[in-house]
Amino acid sequence: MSKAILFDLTKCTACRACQVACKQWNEHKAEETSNWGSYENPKELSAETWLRMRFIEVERENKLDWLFLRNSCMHCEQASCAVVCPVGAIFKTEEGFVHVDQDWCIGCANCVMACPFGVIHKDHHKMRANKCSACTSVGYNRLADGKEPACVTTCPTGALEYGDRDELVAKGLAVVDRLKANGYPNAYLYGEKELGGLHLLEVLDDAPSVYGLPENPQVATKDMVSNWLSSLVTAGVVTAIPFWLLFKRKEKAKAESSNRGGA
Amino acid sequence: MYWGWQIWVYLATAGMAGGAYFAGFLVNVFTGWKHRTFFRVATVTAVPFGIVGVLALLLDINALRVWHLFVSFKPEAMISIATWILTIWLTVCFIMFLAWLLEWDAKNNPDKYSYNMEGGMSKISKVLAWIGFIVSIILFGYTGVLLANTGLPLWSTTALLPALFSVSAVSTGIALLVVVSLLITSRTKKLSISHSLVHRLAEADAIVIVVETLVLIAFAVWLAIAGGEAGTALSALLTGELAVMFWVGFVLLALLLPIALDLLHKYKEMEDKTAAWIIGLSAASVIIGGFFLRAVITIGGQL
Repeated sequence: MSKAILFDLTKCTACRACQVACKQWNEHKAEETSNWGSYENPKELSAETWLRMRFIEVERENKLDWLFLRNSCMHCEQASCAVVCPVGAIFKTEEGFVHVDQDWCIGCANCVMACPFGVIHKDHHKMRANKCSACTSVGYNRLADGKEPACVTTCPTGALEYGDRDELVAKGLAVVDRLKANGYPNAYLYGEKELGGLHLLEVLDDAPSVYGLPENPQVATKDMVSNWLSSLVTAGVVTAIPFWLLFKRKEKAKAESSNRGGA
Repeated sequence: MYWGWQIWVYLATAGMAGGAYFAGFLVNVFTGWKHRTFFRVATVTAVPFGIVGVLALLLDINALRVWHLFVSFKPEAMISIATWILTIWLTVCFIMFLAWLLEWDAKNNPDKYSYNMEGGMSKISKVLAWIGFIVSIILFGYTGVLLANTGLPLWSTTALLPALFSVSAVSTGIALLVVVSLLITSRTKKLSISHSLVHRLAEADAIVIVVETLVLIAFAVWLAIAGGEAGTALSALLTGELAVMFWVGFVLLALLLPIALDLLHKYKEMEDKTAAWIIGLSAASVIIGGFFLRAVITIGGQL
């Protein structure tokens, strides 16, 4: 059964209990950070920080709105990281979450470059990539024990929910409809359709771009055919022409002139 | 920054190795296999660069888990393609070396073998040379595709990045052969690499560099028109923190200086020794510029 996590920003107070629960459950160390002028802390995700809350300041109708957003792996149905992984270390669990096998990853970081959301990171000491596993990591698997992911369990306001994806999509769309009826015409359920459907659904009260989310994320290999064509046509044909001109033709011309000379 | 110097050194050396083999093979095949010695020199030059690339790559990954790459094949994953292409190419070159050695031995000791070893090995090495040629195109052709199949705007916005890397690979490959040929001809006359061959190679490189310049312009224009994050990434190259590396390291060294030197060589009368210096300087500049191209694009994409 396809599962998902629903983030409902209308219920989120940005208390960051989810961030702490993620660190605690997965036994990740705290990272040294410094004040950079925002409540966002740490500033970025890393191989040891899989979840963080984003604080976005937006001016709407001459007043400043403070928006909150969960920043973690989106668990794409069409996951670029899994597609480009050369050893098949990244795969989807039966619930639909994207998992990095820590015993098989070679640390090439191709997945880091391919992720359209920039959420996967490489641990340079352990030489492997890591990210939110929706609590399916080996030895830390809560779902196998019939539990919810740690972030969901700890959320005090119910802004995070875990369950069947179809049910959560319906729930999220209902919140979006309510938002639209209450003066948020651009409200949107991010993840319903993107990349074949994400397993992290986010209720937004404005367009994705306001939250810094890509409007139309694409799989990293979407232009694979044109990239290969461009490369091979240039390589095999265009760059071969000078050799043909300078060696084949000149050689032929030389042979012809010596034949004429002989005759 | 996750892909550092190991990656751009790898992209440059793997590209140059494939390009050098490609150039050596085409010279040989377009002259009706008259330049077999030159092709052998090209292969012997190219292989170590391929190996250097592999070693650089090994420093960037968990070397103890390299074997994981050899128990899977994923055609949509460029690093998997690279693993198999490099393995096939190096294996083909290695078997070809053995065939050449046997052919050479049979030529010098015709009574040693009861059958036509020389002719047999010659045929086998010809077939292997063709296989190596096809594989070499994929070897240097894939380097740009590796970067293009990602989510980063500088790399993935236009399909011209793979083209740019391919042209540069051939250009640096030819330049490498020019430098090696000049070093050989200055030290020995035993290997039949003529001045005319070196000069024609330099001329071929000049044409490839003109193509490279056109591809670079199209690449930049495409990114500028795309705007957004791609435009910002382009600005970092043209006017931002990578501008010196881009303009001096790549544009000047890989494109403008070599073209200027090649024009000087073509249109100004000069002694053979001076001409060799001019051609050699141009080729060395191309090689250094090729490294800067990979560096500036690899770093620029991750800013």
